[in-house]
Amino acid sequence: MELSLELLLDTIYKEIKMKNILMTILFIGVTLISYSQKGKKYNDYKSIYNAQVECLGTGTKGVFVFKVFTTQKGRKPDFEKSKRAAIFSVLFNGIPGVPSTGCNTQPPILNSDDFEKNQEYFNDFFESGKFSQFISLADQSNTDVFKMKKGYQIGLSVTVRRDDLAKKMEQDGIRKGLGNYF
Amino acid sequence: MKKLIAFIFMLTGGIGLSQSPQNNLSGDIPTDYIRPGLLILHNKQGGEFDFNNFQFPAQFDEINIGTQEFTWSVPQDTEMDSLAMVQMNKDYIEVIEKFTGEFMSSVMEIQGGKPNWEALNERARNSLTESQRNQLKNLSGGNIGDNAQRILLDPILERNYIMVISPYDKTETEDGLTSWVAVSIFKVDIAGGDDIQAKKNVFFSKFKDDYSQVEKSEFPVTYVGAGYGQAQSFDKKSLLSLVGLGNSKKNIRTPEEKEFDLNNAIIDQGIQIGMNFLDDWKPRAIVQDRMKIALGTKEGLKIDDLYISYERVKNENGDVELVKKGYDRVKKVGKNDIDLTESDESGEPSKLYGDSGKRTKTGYVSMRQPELGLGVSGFYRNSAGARIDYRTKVVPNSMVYLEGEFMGQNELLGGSDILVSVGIQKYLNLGRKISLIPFAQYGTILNSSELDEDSSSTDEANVAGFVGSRLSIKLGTKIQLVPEISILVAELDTADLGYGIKLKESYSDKFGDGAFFGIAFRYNL
Repeated sequence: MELSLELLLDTIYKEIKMKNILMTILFIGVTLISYSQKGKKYNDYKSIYNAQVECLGTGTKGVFVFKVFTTQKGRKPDFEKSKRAAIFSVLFNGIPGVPSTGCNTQPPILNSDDFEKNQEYFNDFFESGKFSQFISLADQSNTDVFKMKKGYQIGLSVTVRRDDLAKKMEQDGIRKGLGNYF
Repeated sequence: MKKLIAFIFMLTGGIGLSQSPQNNLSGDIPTDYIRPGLLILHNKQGGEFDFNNFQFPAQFDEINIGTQEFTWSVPQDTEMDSLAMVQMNKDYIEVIEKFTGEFMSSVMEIQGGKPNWEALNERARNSLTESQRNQLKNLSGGNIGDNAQRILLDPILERNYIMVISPYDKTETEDGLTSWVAVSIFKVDIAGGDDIQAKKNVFFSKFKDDYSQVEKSEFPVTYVGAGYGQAQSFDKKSLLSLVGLGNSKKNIRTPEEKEFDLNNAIIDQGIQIGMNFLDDWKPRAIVQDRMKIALGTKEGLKIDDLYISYERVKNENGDVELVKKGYDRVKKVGKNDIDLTESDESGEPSKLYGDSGKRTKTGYVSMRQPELGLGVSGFYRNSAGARIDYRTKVVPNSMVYLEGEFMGQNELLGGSDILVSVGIQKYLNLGRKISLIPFAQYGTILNSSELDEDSSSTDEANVAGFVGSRLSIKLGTKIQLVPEISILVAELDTADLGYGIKLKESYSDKFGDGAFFGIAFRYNL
């Protein structure tokens, strides 16, 4: 009799333990799914794609050539990250002016509120690769790689069609163009 | 012995000494190679040299003026082969300044009293790198607008040099021509100023009304450095004649060919010396995947040229330091002499192979490093010997060499018997630390007393040929420990005087004919 009671208690204990494990897995899964559905916020993007931008020159009609410097752990350049960082910088940080190269300061096209209000749009814009249509050229053959105290800094020369990017944001209703004020 | 020394000298021909290299690399050095403009001036004080015939070095843009020679005599009691000669070259500056008007007129392509912008643009286009082309294409459609001027023309206007060569003591030997040469290098600016924009402002405001005054003016000259060395041209037959081969007429060079070779060796000497002072003169590029670099025939690359790769390290203040990594050599020279403005095509890149040092990774900056291309070894096989090797620059990592193994005293002739051999070896790199080196060599046993005579004594000499393999263990970028195993594959004993008496013992008489083991220390020069 004592033996069967002990067996019963042991079975109950194992079941509770198994349930706990299942519950934990379920909780983690639900959290991950809900997070991925919600997508990354502005600060998430900013922490990943925060970059220094050095303008090298301007082309015709709102075309800017600049070097975008990103940091990463490994030394093999992550060109996709650099390209996303270039577009993110033009959209939300602007391009600092360099008089000697004929670059006037370009203000950011949008602000962080625009991102937060249209989070799904930007998640799609950056993750699906739509951003890349505004990069005319990324010169991967001459990439700068600097070793830093922690990780590496990658300098990629990119050509961005800023005016076209601004127009796209207006067309998609993310940015208010002058027409919206009249 | 004189002859042996002459041959050792011959192997080093075209290469010589220079002042100690200066490490002036800084982290902010441009990664694009901007072709410097170069005028070669010949100081005729050292005798009769005809400098109308030479190959202009491919890594420079040639600047020509009317007369490219002058005579600047040194006092009679000056020792011509001393460093004092070079130091005195510093006084050339006053002489050089007189050439700067014509020089700058040529740099600025002034024709008919005004700059020929199309000719200037042509030079800029010739210096264009692919990364510059890609940048320009999006800025201004390839026209020389403000951006293009900043990217292409300004760097060119900042890199113009005069190299004065003072060859002297030309001597004709039975093996070819030798000469000493003193070299001094000067930088010429278009005007004084802190940066190129300031210099341009001064230049154009001074001459805008009459550019014909440029050639009558003098421009700022900066002494860069000087050095001296030896150069030599030689008969193709010389090396082989030592072991009784290569005497056919087709192997003998004409006097004109020897003059041409000597001139080129003198110019090459000057470039090697200049590279010790000027990073501007060192072709360089960012290392691409699979150790390719965007340099090639246009920059005059040759098989086995030494390139050092540098990692750029940025500190917390943003300052960049270049950290030396791999020692690499050119495996394949890319044909990159194409007009990049005409199409989106890329020039064929050159390919490097790792030689020593640390691994070269994509993104490093690879820069030409001047060297003699020469190795000296002390070895012990069955007896002690010395070897000098020189890169063929035809097949990657292959060398020809000359060695002497001292076989011991000769009781009949007096003096020592020496097995003097010529050979060829090929390094098969197993990583950057170890190489397998198959080799073959052929030599003749000479007596030191015979070597002092001018005539060759190979008619009655014993010959010995070996094949084998060496293993190079690289203890650093310069020093190698080289064990070897070899076997005697060919031997000819022609020195029997009869009655069983031999004038010289054959190699196998002395050391047997099994496998021979040896070891050497090699030093890279």
